[in-house]
Amino acid sequence: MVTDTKVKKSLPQGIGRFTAGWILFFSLTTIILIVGILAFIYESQMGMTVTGMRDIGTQGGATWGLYVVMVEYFIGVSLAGLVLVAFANVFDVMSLRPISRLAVLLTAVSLTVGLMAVVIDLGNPIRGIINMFLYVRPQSAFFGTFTLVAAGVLMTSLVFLFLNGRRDAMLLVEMDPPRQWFYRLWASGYRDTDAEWERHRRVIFWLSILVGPLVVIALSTEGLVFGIQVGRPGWFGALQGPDFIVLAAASGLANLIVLTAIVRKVLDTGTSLIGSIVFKWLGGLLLAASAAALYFQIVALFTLLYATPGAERRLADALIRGPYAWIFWLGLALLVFGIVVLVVQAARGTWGVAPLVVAAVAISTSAVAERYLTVIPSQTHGMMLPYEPGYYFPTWVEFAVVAGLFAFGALVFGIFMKVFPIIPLKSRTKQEVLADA
Amino acid sequence: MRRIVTLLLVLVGLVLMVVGYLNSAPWGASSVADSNPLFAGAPTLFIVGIVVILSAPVFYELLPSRDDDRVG
Repeated sequence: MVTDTKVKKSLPQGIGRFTAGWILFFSLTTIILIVGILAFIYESQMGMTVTGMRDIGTQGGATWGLYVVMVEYFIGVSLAGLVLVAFANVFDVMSLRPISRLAVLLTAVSLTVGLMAVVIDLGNPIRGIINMFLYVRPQSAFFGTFTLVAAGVLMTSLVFLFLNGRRDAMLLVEMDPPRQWFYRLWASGYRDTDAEWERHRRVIFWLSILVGPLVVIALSTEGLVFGIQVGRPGWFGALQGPDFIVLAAASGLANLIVLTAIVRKVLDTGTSLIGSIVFKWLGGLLLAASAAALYFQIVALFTLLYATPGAERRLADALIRGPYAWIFWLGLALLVFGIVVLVVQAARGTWGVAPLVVAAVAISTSAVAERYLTVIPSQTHGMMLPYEPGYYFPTWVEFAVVAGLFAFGALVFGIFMKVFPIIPLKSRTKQEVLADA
Repeated sequence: MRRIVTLLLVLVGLVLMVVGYLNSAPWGASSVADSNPLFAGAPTLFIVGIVVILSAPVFYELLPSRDDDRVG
């Protein structure tokens, strides 16, 4: 008879195995999550006065603060994973298969965290959620966020995750793992027949075709939230939607690279499971997306600076040499630095994991800065009415809540890795299927 | 059977989306005051419609088919 311990050891990719490092990871993320929850409870009891947010104009502040910045950031990050997997499925790019589950999970988790940030930003979350289902109006760009993003993209990523995981769940059942009912439920009767395989291939192909337009339309609404506000200098403009998508692609790919590198390092067999070709693909795509993001930034800046009327000019001054200058120049420098690192790697033809991670972290940080500059300065320095320039800086409560959101996301990834293979188990290729047939 | 269920789910989802949208944003309203959802919960119909459509692939894969017994 095989003991539980032996069975656990035989499960792939360290499922159910808790090393000291994993225990430390779970402890730290749980503590940070609890601190975030406590900070949110404190904010709920004391009111939003414990945050740095104040009324625009009359109180000289910003009503959308760090939480909305994080909404933009997290929802942006969600774009790359699902689109990348859809791209790999449609064009049959087998090299990206090892990170397909990781990518879709990144989409699902970052969307969930982004939507949590929306809810947290509401003064009264429960009332906000109930009223949203009853009265949300399609005339608002937020309608797209709550319907196409929340329901559409999140649901699509969960469907992807579920259907793509059925075969692995079936294989895990055969390994006689603990909590077998869970894997049986996930496999939901999958037997790996030719018919099932072909049906699955067909479903994933058409879902992948649907994903492109769905994700682009859904996430464009995030940019439109700002782009269609006529009376707010810095926001109104046709570039907000495309700019959001491009930066979303860059930040999403950057996060995916970091996560892929972590998974590769953490798993015993990571190096053999995730080959260097994966990083070559991700690096090349990140370079393209980052270059496009830089182009959009330059175009937006040039437009803002060139013979603009008073309010836009004041905003441009605040960005370039005013209170936001350090964020602006730091963000731009990080983006350029990341692109330079990627170009050097491309020129050498070798995509090292360490430099790629450095570039990815720089570009991701730059994306946070860019989202911050999209949301905040237009509120504090973009008034059409004759108010004095305002001020906003997040308080410890906001930082703690946001740290809690990051911890929640990390915790979900960690838990997933302990119950299911984050890298798909060896699957049948098209050639193998044809050979079988 | 499997295809009929899938098609039905897509159609039901589309109908829910259209009904939900048209009732959430009354077209031709003469003023902003008349642009509220025609009934409370109309936007939820739109959301449910999306979820129903996206659940169709799950049913398509999960429901049994005649040629399922051909083991690969």
